[in-house]
Amino acid sequence: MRALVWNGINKLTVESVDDPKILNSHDAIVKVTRTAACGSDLHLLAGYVPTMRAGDVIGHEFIGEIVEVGSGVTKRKVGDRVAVSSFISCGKCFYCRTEQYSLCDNTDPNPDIPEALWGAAPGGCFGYSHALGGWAGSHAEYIRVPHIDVGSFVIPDGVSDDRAVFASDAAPTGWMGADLAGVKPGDVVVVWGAGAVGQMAARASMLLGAERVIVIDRFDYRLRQVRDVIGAETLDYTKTSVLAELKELTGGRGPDVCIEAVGMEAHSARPDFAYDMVKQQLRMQTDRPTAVREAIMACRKGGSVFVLGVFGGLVDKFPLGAVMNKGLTLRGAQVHGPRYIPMLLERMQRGELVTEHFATHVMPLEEAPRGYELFKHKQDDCVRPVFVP
Amino acid sequence: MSKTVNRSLAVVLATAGGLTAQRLWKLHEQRNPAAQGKDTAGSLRWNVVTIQAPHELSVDAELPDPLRRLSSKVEVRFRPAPGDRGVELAARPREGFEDEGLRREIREALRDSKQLIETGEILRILPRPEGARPATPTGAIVDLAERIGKKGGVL
Ligand SMILES: [Zn+2]
Ligand SMILES: [Zn+2]
Repeated sequence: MRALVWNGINKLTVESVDDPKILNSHDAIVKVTRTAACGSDLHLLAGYVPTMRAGDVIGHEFIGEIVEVGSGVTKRKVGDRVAVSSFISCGKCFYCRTEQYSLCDNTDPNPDIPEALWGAAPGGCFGYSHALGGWAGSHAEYIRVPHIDVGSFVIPDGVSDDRAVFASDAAPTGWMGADLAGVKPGDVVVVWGAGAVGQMAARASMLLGAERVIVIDRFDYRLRQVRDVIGAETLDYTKTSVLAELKELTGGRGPDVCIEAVGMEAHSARPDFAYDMVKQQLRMQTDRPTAVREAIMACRKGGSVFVLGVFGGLVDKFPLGAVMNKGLTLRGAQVHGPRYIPMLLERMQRGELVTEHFATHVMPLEEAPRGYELFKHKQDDCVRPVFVP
Repeated sequence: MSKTVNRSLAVVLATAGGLTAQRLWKLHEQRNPAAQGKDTAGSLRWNVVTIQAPHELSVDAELPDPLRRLSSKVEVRFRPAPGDRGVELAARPREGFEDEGLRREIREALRDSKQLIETGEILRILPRPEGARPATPTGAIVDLAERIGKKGGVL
């Protein structure tokens, strides 16, 4: 089959690779019909995720049709049109039973790598380096999905492929940020980052009853989507002082909930950005925490900060004093897909959750390297490239 | 945790990620005192996993295959985990068998036993679809890290 392969920093090629096989009884083979590039894939591309191997098939956001199932599969069958969770979960361990699916104990075959990095191993993720399992990704014609009964959900009739594909990763990630940050009716919520995940966090906050939702970014075409499609307010951080503006907008309090949806390659107009950029480029720190820092500083006393952006390692000049003295709640997580995907698919069917506008560039898999170029350099108003194998 | 295994891991992460191996290793040591080799009780320490399983699991129950294969060289202990967390399954080398190689086998056997009891099978990863894998130094290190992926760690 054909697949998009990572061959080194900023080197992607479409190659012929072996077809996936059923290896465990709970596996299924899914024929991929849509697969989206995710902002966190750009970290792989840029070489910020160290346990990549030349030859790895990437991609973790996808939908498809089941074409083969293992003998232990009971809930899904050949022919089902499914959205698949980007993280892989066994459904049986303590973490899966308590709906913390991305923390699954049983789906990373290389637990020693994350244990050395983070002290414990989260679950495996498709196409996301050998630290998260070394699983082949979804930018391919076919993909093997372990524990298909747990991680896949039948897409309701009437939900288009271009809408449903974002039920795999972007929508549950954004929803989880709003949910686990504890957004309540009446809250003022600020989201850093107007990519697909940031927009989904904003939409989720609105549906959870937030009174006011503001999204911060610097790209006008993304901010326009936030206003026109999501219906939230926007701020361009290159044109205003974010901290002063947020104080003014929130009666001097600061937002109740701050959601960071930017990750380790953050940008900012503030001087600490240059500091972080230099440190990261010199490999003295692994991540740029610019947006996280700003979220912590902006948040009201007793408020809640949620880190949705992907971080890999260590940061410095972290405002720990603000966390402690302002009584903040600070959380983060990789996406607990199965906890949210069925509900999100229903909302997609009812039209409450619209996502197809992210798919600004739908193209054949053979053109995926060009799609990643557009996405990486934010050319041609690209929000997400989506590949059709 | 074996020093050699972990040093190679540190090198993987460092070369590709850019930190120096030394820095990363230092960090790892700070976080995992056992990795400093200063754990005097090291050879007698139990390696433990918690398994979502009925509390009735006990030493009398048949040992899961991966552990039974080692049973002449290891001692095994079950005890109930607090709250609703299942059972703690522990293993350590019997006297006279205390070496790092066995320690690595124990980690893998514990992880595999947990998967067998919780999910009914051990999840396989290979063979997987993959592109050409050029022989590069970092590639070789990632390959090594993957080959020993269940034998190391802080378990
Ligand atoms: Zn993602
Ligand atoms: Zn699990």
